Amino acid sequence: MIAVVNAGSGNIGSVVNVIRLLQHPVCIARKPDDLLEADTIILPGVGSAGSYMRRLEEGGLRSSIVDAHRSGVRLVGICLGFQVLFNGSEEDGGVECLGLLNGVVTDLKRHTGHAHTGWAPFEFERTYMSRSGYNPIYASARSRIVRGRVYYNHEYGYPLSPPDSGVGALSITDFSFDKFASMIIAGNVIGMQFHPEKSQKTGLSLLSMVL
Amino acid sequence: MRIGATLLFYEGMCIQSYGWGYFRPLGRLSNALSMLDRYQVDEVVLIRPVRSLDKQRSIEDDLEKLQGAFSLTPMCVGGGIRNVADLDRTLSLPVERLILNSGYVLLNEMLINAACERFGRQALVASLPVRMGHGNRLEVFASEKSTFISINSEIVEFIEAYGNEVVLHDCVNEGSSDKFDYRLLERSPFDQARTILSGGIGPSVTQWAHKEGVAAVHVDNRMLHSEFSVPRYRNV
Repeated sequence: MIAVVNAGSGNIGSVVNVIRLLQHPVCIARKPDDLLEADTIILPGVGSAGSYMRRLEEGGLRSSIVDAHRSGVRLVGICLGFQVLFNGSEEDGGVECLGLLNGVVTDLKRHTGHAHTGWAPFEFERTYMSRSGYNPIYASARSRIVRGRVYYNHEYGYPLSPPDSGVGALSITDFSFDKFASMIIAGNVIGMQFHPEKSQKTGLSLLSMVL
Repeated sequence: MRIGATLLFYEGMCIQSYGWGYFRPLGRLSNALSMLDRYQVDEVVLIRPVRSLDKQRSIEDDLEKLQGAFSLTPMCVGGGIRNVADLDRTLSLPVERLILNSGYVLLNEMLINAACERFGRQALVASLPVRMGHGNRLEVFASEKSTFISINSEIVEFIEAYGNEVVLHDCVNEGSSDKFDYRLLERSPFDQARTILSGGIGPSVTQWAHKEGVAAVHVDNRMLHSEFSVPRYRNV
């Protein structure tokens, strides 16, 4: 079962819709018990880090997500759901996040002057997952490579540093934002700064490969 | 530059609009979204053209119908969102961005803060239906008051502080092709890289907008006709 975490922010419907389109079993998790049957947890994200983390905490979901990760459940973070996987975020005056990935999410505007809204080219190979220790459960895609374009809408991002280089971390292929992470794979965690559920054919192909 | 499509949604169906005064049925939302997915439009903006005439029941019904919308394309929704209860209803919609008019133009800080908390500032778009007023000054329509007001520095600062992008909607030439009034962008106080043009968009306007470095153009009515669709605008 794929559990989509509802932390009271927008866009949950888009993520659930696309998983249903792929014909995978899916539920919306509003409380810790909803995660018990999950083999994959998706943290979707449209919102702000402070309110997102506060709602995870209030709903008792924060510790359940961390426990599930420790027990081997796959975590897929999307956009803000990706950002909260790190140790912290500069958003809302500084927020302590889930700490499942090392690093701090920073304000894009300090580097580029504005938020990132739009499409950028994207390429992903299936082998990136196996090399980084991630094994999808439902993978229905037969192709080995996904190529196309993906949609971004964010004003915070994770700045890549030399230790992040390698197959486990892809940067955004847009000149102004190429110092920031597009996707990170680490063990049973995959984080995507873009919105695969809104990236048309490319997003659908990617999700059918990584879920 | 992104090429988007504006879909007007009212009483459960899509409509074509000419100057926000004459409406013509366009068909079911699901069909329109499916076609726009197929054309790989960059984004879809769903607008309820309600202005001050909106009734609470009407927005509840429309938002309920939008819950069933399915699209693999980024979607933005707006029109009649004037309180926190309306905002909370949008949380269950399959949309990534909100487009708000009265909240920005009437400086409703409480509403905009609530929207930031739920969707994030990067997801907020200020909708500015504009026209050239007396003395070539830019005027914006405040939907909730059903009147045009001058864009003053207070409104500009508020939008810059609490919004990501701005839609300059040419409400005089809305529904027509290639008639967008270029003066609207020239007089606009907003950063062009964060500005979206809408109303009267056609291939020539798109070409000009691209040179001006705007973030996106939103094509209305015609985008659903394949002969006018996305490739034609991209190729300009």
